[in-house]
This record gives sequence, C-alpha cells and structure tokens, in this order.
Amino acid sequence: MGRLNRLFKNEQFHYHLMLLPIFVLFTLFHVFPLYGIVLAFKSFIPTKGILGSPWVGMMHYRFLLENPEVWHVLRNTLLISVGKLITMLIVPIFLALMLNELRIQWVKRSVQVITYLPHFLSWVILAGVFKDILSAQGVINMILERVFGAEAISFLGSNFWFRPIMIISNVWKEMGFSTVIYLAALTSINPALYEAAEIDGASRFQRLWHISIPGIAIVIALLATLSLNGILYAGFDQIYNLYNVLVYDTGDVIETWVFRNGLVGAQYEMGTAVGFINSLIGLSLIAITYTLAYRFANYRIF
Amino acid sequence: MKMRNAGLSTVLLASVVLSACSNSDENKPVNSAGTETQTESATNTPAATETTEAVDPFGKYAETLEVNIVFDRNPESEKGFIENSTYENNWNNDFWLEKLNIKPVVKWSAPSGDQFNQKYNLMFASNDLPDIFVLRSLDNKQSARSMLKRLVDSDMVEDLTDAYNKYASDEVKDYYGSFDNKALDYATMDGKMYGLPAQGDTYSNAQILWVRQDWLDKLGLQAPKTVDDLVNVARAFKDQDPDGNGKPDTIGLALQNQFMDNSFTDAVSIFNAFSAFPKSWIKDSSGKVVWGGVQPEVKKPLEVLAGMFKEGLLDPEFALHDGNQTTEQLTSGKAGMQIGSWWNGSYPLTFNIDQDSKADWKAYIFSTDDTLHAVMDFPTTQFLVVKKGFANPEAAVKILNLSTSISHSKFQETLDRRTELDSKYGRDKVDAPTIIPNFGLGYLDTTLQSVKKFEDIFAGKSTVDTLTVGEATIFNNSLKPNHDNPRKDAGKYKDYINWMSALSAIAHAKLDIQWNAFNGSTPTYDAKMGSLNDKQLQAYTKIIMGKEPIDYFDTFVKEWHAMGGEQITKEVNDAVASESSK
Repeated sequence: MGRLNRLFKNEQFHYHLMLLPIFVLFTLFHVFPLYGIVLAFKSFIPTKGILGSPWVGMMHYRFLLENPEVWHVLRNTLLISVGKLITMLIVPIFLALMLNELRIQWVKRSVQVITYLPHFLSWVILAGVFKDILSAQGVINMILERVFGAEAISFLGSNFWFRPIMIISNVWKEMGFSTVIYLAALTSINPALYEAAEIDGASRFQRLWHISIPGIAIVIALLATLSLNGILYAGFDQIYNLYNVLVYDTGDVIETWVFRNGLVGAQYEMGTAVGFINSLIGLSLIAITYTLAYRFANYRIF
Repeated sequence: MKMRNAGLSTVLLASVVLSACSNSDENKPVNSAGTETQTESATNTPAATETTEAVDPFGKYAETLEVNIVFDRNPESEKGFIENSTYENNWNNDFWLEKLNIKPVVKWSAPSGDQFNQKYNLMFASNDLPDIFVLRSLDNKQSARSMLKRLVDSDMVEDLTDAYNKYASDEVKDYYGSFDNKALDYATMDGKMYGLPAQGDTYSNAQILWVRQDWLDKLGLQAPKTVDDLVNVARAFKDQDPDGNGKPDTIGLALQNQFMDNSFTDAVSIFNAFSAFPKSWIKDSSGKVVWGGVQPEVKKPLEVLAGMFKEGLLDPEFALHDGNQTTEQLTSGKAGMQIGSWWNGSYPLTFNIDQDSKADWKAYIFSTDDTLHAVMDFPTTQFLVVKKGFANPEAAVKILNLSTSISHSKFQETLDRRTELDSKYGRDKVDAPTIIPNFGLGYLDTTLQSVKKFEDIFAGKSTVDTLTVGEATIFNNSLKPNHDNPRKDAGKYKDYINWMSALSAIAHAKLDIQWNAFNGSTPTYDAKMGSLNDKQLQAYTKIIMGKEPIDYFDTFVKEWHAMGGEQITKEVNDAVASESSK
C-alpha cells in the first residue's frame, strides 16, 4: 500500500500514465500478433487455424536454404539496401548542411519543398514516370542519342543499370524528407558557438566541420543505427513496380521473391519464415550497433 | 495485369453469350453413364432419405433461401448498366428469385483484378467461405482441382454426390455425358463428388494469329499459313511502311513480357506450331509425363523468335512491356500482327478498330504441318462448390440446372428482356448480371458447330431455321447486319470478325488437341514450380533477346532439373500413375 502511495505521489506519475494508451496499442497490434510467427514452423491448414496446424519443424527453412536462388536474392537485397543505406546517410546530411548554410530564406524554403515533395508520391506512380523516362524512346536516351550520339540503353532491362537506378531513384525520392530531421538537429546547436568561432577567425568550412557536424553526430548515429533494422528490406514497392524478368539476376530481392513464390503461390508459411529471419537479423544488428555506438561514441538512448 | 483481367472478363461475358447457341437435344435419352452413377450412389445413401421427398430439378423453394455469396464487380461493365440496375439489385437476380426463390446475400464484393483476387485467395486462408461459390484459380499457379483437393483435405466443402444424383436435370447430365462424364470424375475424390464441374466450349480456345488485313492488302501479301509466312509478313510490316506515314516506325508482331501465358500478344502458338508446349505437362513417346518447357522441341521456335528479334520484327523492349503497353502499340497502329484468342476482336483490337476506320483485322491459323497443335487445360477449370455445413447443398445443383437452361435460351422471358432493352437503350446498355454464382454447361465444340451453320447460311446452303434461339440472336443481331453492310456498325463488325474470321478459322482447322497431362500439384511442385517458371521465362526471354546464345537452352534445362524439376517430374509421374490406377 505504501508503495502504491509513493507511486501516486511520484512527480512523474502522470507522465507514466500517458504511456498507457501506447502500451495497450502496442500489445494489441504488435505484441499479440507475434504468435503468427509460429506459422514459420507449421504446415498451415486454414480450418485448424494458425495454432492448430501441425508442426513441421525447420522444413520451410530447409527448403529456403536448399533453394539456390536464395543466395543471389540475398546478395541483391544486401547490395541494394546497403547502397540505399549509405546514400541515404550521406546525401541528406550533405543536403542539410548545405541548406543550413543558405542565408536567403526563400531559396532555402523552395529547395526544401522541391526536394521533399517526391516523398509523398507512391512508387506505383513514380514507376510509371521512371519507366517512361528510362525507356528506349525516353528523355534520357534521347539526350544520350542527340548529344553524345550513343546508342539507346535499355536501362530497366539491364542488369548493369538496375541496381544503381534503384539506389539513385530512392535517394531522389527520399532525400528531402530525411533532411528534415538533420535540419531540426542543426537548429538545436547553440548559435553562440558559431559566433565564438567566427570571432576566433574560423572559416565557413571550419565552422561546418567543427561545429555543425559534431553537433548532429548523435542524430546521425541514431538514424544509422535505426536504419540497420531494415537491412534486409530493399524496398518492395519500388522494385516490384520497376523490375522485370530480364533483371531478376540483379533486381530480385527477398521481398519480391517471397511475394512471387510465397504469396502469389499461396505459401504463407514460407513468407512468415523469411519475415521472421529478417526480423531476427534486423534486431541483432540493432543490438550490435547500439552497443558499438555506446562503447565508442558513449551514446545511448535508454 | 488489370487489362489482362479486363480481357478475361470479356471472355467470360462472351462465353455466356456463346453458350447460348448450342444444340438442345431435349429428346436425347439420359446416357447410360449417367444412370450408372445414379444407381451407384443409391447404394451409398441410406434408402430412408429418398422415400418421400418429391425431387424436382427446377423446384422452387417454399421459403426464400438466402445464399451467402461473393462477387467481383467490373467497373467497366458497370458503366453500361441500365438505370436502376446494380449488381446487388437487378432484373436477373429477381429472375432467380422468381424461378428458384433463391436470394443472394452479399458477403463481400471487390473490383475485379488484383483486389478481388487477393481477397478471394485470403478467404481460403481464413476459412471464411460463402455458402456457394465458384472455385477457380485466379493466379494460374495451381489448378482448380488442386484447390478443390486442398479444400476437401481441410474439410471445408460439402459432398455433393447425393444432391447431384437426385437433382441434376437431364440436360445437365447430357452435357456431362457428351464428354464421357470425364468432368464429373474430375470433381470426384475418393468416390465423393465435391463440386459441380464447369464444362463448356473448349476447342474454340485454340490460339490464332490476328493480322492487319488492310496492311496485307496494301503490300500485296498473301495470308500467312506457316511460321515462315508469319516471319515474312512481319518483315514486310516492318520494312515496307504499311501505315504509309513515311517513317520506319512499325513492328511486325506485338509481344508482351508474359508471352508464355496464353492471353493475347503472346507467343505460345509459335511454340505450338513446332509441337512444342512450353507451359504444359505432356506425355512423351514412352508415356512418361514431362514438362514441355524443357523439351528439345522448344529450341526451334526460340530460334525463330530470336531471329525475329534480331531483325527488329519484335519490339526491342518487349520484355519490359505488359499487356497495357502492347495494347497501346496495337491501338496506335504500330503493330500489324498479334497472336491471341478468337475474342481479341473485342479486346484488345477493339481500340485500334475504333480509332482507325481503315484497320481491318483477320484471323489465321498457322503451323508447320497444316494442323493446329495445342495443349489445352482439361475443360473443367472451375467448380461450383458448397461450403461445408450449408443446409441446402442441392441449391447448387438447382442453380446449375437453371443456369444451363438459361444459357441455352430455354427461357423466353430472358430473350424478350434482351430485345426490350435493346430497343429501349441500344446494345451497349445491359442489366447487371445476377450475382448468384453460376455457369451454364455446354459441349466442347459448341461454338464451332454454330460457326459452320452460319457459314452455310451465308453460302446459301441452308436457312436460318436451322439455328437455335441463341444462335439466331447472334446471327440476326450482329453477323447478318455486318455481312450486308460491312463495318457500318463497329460493334457488329467486331462480333463479325470474332465469329466469321477467328472462330471460323479454328472450325476449319485440323485440330490436334492434347489435354494437359497433369493439373494437380505435388509438394515439391507447390514449393518450387513458381521459381522454375520464373527461371524459364527468364531463359527464354534472354535467348530471344540475344543476350544468351541458343545453346543456353541446354544450360537452362540442366539447371531446371537440378533446381527441383527432376523431383517435380518424378512426383508428377507418381501422382499421374496413382490417379490412373484408381
């Protein structure tokens, strides 16, 4: 009783109370559905439901490992998602620092708006646009032909170009939106630091290097850590809408492969098996990087 | 994908019209096989249940029977519905209510295409079935029979043996009997019949070649008869500027990325012409079931296609184009040939015909030996099934009886209604169809029989009296008017070329039809066939596009076997063996 009393009297009690709805929602929609994971170890029979279906052990995983396609699909996934991860760290930071240096407000605003608009378009729409632009009769090939006299390249049908196109188009679409967080972090840096540095005779670049970047380092570390979670998700919408049979070699990623073989082929168990593995790897990567971030940068969230 | 579904629904619509025109042999006695099944099941069923009840195949329920159903709405057709006619509430639903006192209650509906397909497939996974529904494969990855098997294994559907034996009409039994009751056997597992199999016009599904006749005429070319002719015509269409705009912007043959699936702008017939059957299980000379896609016969047609690609007779980026984009090519008059089905006059060629008054399409058969080779899926690709536990399973049989009768124009009021609507709203407006799951049965060559009758009439060899009510409707409404006044009405013209060009070409061809040797699935098949089909499409596409030499086919075949093909072939043969030994 005394303990409870103390809890109620705790000054932070009402803050904790505010966590309750989140806690309920999270349990309902995130923790509870986790039981579906057992599907990865079962042979699903609809009438018996997920829990009633018979266990099959590691059968689905064995099938996955036996399938020679899995390895090149995994390789594609890693190449594309690492490519996206790195570009999505560098480009938005770069863009944020540049925007931060801009003194003319309306230029800054309009650049920001323009770069951040594509985020709101779905890949279904953008895929149509990219297909047109990149087709043999598209704008890019027209320029290549007229200006450089080069032969038309079938970009989306080329195994050489497909991955770069996925990475570049993803940067184009998302960079503006990711910049927002860095810009916010930059505003939190104490202006006095810049003034002091200026008085000490620091150049613009030196100010950027010694104040701005260290100032947002923690945010960079945080976002990098979090983004590792998605290392095995290369972006289904984008790839599914843009790939074709010619680029399965380089463009087929886990999600598209599972979609074709798992969902379309009604193999829900296998889809679950892959999803489960993805989550496990994502979780352990986060744990590792988080520990590293703590050890080397002395940074922690909790 | 969407467009392909629109194409499919056109077929469905068309087949309703079609089945309206077969012979109705009401006097024909019930065949012996039919009676046999009846006696057989009589021994199975306890005699007590059969005593008192008066069995009427078309019996109306005393109290309105509410049947829980699902359906897909086609937004395109919906535009053509007459006022006050919706899927949920229309004359056709009322007709069923009046005849059988059956009332559909919508469980859910979704726009046809991906949305419907996903919901439909999920409904099995969640064991949330409507009372009566048409079981069919929407993704072509598994056959309807293997879907049925799954449902039976999971104890989700009702045994219909007794209901069929008691309630099936003579007409229905006659149609099944015309194909030796093979369709019924197909729906039977362990001696119990779990679904009412569809059976209808089948041979007309043979693929044909549509050619721009006006281009042929302009360039003074003969109609193609062989594969070589096809290539030559394609070459002329590319080089000789058939559209006369002075630019070399035409391609010979329209082709889409999924060219291995029978739809339209595919290439399956080119393979078939060489007796290669890339997407089917076939029996080899020793009687063993093998996958057609890895047989040496495939090499020759691949070489032909690769040659065509190299010459620029195909679109250089065809592998990136889906049905929508190839349709666009046809519409804009960039392509002069496409391989497809008899109904392609209505889709996708319709857009070209509407846009270009000169565009004149004709259909031809081509092969290497004067015979039209094809593997067809067993005539039954869907079943009418009843959810386990539904109290009135015989309703499904009654529905089949009635829908078969309707589709053979046995009800004057349905015909009168059509005439009434035509005169009031014109041909473009229709009642919404009934949403009660149903399909009418027919013979395997129903349409081909009809076409020959039409031809005889046009040739003066016979008269319209020989036609059934349904046939007469088609003849009088579209064929005759267009024959007398060619192309005056675009809609009639499209019907006319569908019938008198495409179906006629098939009716006069020497047909060599094999049934797909295996329609079910096996464990490894389920697990790996998807990837293997991907692999096959990929290998074929690369060979055709010249990214790999023709010998790459041998490498592909080796990989195919190693990646599970060998195991699947073995399992398939075991399954076929156990099926035939039963």
